Amino acid sequence: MDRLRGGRFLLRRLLWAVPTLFGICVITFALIHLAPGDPIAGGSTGPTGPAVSSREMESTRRLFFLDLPLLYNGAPRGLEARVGRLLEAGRGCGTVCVPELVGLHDGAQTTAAGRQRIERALELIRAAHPGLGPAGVAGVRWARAVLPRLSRGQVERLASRLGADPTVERRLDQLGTAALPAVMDALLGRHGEPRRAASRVASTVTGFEGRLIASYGAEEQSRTLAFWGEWWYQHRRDHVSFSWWERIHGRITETQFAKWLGRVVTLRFGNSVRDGRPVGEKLCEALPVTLLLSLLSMGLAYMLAIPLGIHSAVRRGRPLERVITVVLFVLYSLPSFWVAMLLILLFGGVGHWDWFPIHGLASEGLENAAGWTWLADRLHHLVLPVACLTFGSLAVISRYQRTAMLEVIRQDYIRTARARGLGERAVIVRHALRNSLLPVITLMGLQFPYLISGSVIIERIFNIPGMGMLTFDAFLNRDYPVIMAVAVISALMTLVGLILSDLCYALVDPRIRLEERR
Amino acid sequence: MIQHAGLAPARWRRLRSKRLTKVAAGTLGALALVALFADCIASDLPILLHLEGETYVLSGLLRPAALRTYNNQQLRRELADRGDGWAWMPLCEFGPRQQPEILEPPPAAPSSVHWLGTDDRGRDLFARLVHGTRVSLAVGFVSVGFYVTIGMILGLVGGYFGGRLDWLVSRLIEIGLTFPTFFLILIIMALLERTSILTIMLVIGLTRWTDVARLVRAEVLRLRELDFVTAARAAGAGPLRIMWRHLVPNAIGPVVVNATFGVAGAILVESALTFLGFGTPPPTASWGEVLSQAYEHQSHWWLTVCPGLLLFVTITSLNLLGEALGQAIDPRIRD
Repeated sequence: MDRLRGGRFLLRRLLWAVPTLFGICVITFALIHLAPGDPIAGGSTGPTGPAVSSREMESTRRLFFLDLPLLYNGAPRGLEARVGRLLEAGRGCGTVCVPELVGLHDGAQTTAAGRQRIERALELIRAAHPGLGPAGVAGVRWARAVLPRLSRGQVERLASRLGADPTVERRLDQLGTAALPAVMDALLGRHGEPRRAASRVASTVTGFEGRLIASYGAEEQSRTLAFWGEWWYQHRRDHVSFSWWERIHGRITETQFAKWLGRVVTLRFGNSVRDGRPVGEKLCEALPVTLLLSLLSMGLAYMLAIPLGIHSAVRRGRPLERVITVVLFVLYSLPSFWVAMLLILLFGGVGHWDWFPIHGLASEGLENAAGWTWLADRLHHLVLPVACLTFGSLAVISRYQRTAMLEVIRQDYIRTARARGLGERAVIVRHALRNSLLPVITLMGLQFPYLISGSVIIERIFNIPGMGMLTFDAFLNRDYPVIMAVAVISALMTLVGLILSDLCYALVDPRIRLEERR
Repeated sequence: MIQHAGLAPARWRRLRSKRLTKVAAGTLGALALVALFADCIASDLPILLHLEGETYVLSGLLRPAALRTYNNQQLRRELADRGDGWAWMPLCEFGPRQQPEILEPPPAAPSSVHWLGTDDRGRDLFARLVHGTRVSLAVGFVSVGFYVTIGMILGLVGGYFGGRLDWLVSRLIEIGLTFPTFFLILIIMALLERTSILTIMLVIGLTRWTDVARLVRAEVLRLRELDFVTAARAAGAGPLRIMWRHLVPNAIGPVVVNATFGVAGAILVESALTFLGFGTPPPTASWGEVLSQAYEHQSHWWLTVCPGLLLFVTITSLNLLGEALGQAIDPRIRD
């Protein structure tokens, strides 16, 4: 029965997190829209030339789907829109346009308007290639011949033979971007030689250099794949005609917000602008470092703070307690980054003492050392940063513990316990401790954001490659994909911390669970 | 007459009785004076100057164009040559942005000329710290005033009206709690194209209101069930009047305590932001900016020690004051 109630509480708490999560997504979405103010306004006046900045603008536009409506898309447009645009502009309509018409062809041939558009496209091809002369007519004839043969099904059949039949690649190259949906399916969905062949076709067709080569290492391979995955996420609708179902849900999904939400839900934040690596991968490298730092310092802080808090509550008024209180108060007021710099000044080899390393997490040459050497080196590097992260929360937690303990000691049941003749130790440990731990436990979840925030500055000072360092670098380089990922992840982690602390609270204090039930 | 529990006279008396609190309040007062009169304490132009029959009062501040090409050192020489003018020099005769003649490659160590040494561009550190006080205190107090207002309004609305509004406010608070505030501020500051002290104040104000809202909401939830609120309602008072006249004065106590700690927090955030390079833009003098220089020049101890010490003293005073206020309001915290 009790377990059932606990389960219900957990479920309820998790459900409560959903609107919060949604709010977080909305806020980060709004934040991101603060960011690329320049691509819309066109006010970017960097030292980079106009050509570079317009290209940057285009990539930022694509990154945030700025060409889509914000929340509601009245008429989601796929490939047709693009071909229509090309036809209307009357440019860029070389033979490349012909295969694109193939996608259109399936449906277009049956209506008079569709036939007219195809005729018009063929006219434009001839106009774009006056040098063809009579060959222009031949080109049109070729196109006329080739169009009906290349329905979507046939392209897919062709793409399924990628890697097995060398002539397929050339035939797909000729089809141009019309082959992309099938080619991208092969590139992202298959392995080995078919995938490599698909990457060759995709590179030729799109003009981006992204060929997978058999001799690539795992990292290079994943980077290339990530590039194509992200590219397809951004450009898919330019190359696919939407089905009727896609047209319906596209009203919601083909919007800036939905695309952003899609990134959050699938944790696909794109690729770092700086080195092209997928953001997820960079996060996976940085997160453990920060977690190590945070958990170490949090554990250390709790281990020291709880006894200190209890001691200063139970022995209040004694000289030692006064000293402890003053010291804790001073620690509480010390800015951690200043302390970090003072510690570097004192022990970092700047002045007299060169006791601790101040750079990174491992000495040069010892990154992959074995066993004890590795551990000792790690710990040696961790001393200063962990100390800086610990002392602040140590002060906070012990003050909370002290207040809570003082509160508990005044309760009637403690007096009762004393009156029963229990020793002071038994009273404190058995009766007072458990109840005084409550506020300190809730604090655990709330300490988490502080630790993450603190890690930015401490990791920067000590050059530790964690989340903080990643974020700082991302800020400096305006690496938007990393920034948005970090914003979401840190908020998620804090939310998890909050939920955990609520659960701990409920676990220790049955009243909460019962209250929930009422 | 309703006796407000917010900041009753008895509490003021309790507050004033502690010596340490007095010291803290005095320190803060002194810092406020320094911030207010920074231009009289450290400036590259005299406070009062009589030259060629004309009198200039604080010309660096009031008539920046008049003596642009001069500074204290030149004026001294000029006055000695002429013999007919006089000047009332500021305490420190260097301005925060002035780069005096270089005696040795900067940063120079503390000496009789530059009391706290110079920074890496040869600017006088004492002058920069004095003017940095202004930035720090302004950011601290303005941003806290801003978020206390937001938090009070949200907390009052949520707590008093309850129901869906309260649900909404609670969710907003939860979202606000979930974002690591410093992180959020950092992200916003990094994304903004151009930053100024004002943007820092706004951003801190817009991101840190959650605690105040939570406190006020909890307090209002408790207070609105009490008899005096019912009595006020029975007497025909509208919600606005009840909130302003009855709820705010009773709920203000914890908010004042929180705000005092909040000022310390905001000052810390400003200097941390500036330290990372996303805060107060150069060439404005601020403590964090000097600390960021210290990071580049780690062997020059005065760059680390002086601004940090000031920061520490300010934050400690504010925390002491907050502590004392908290004890005055809730005597249970006292031993």
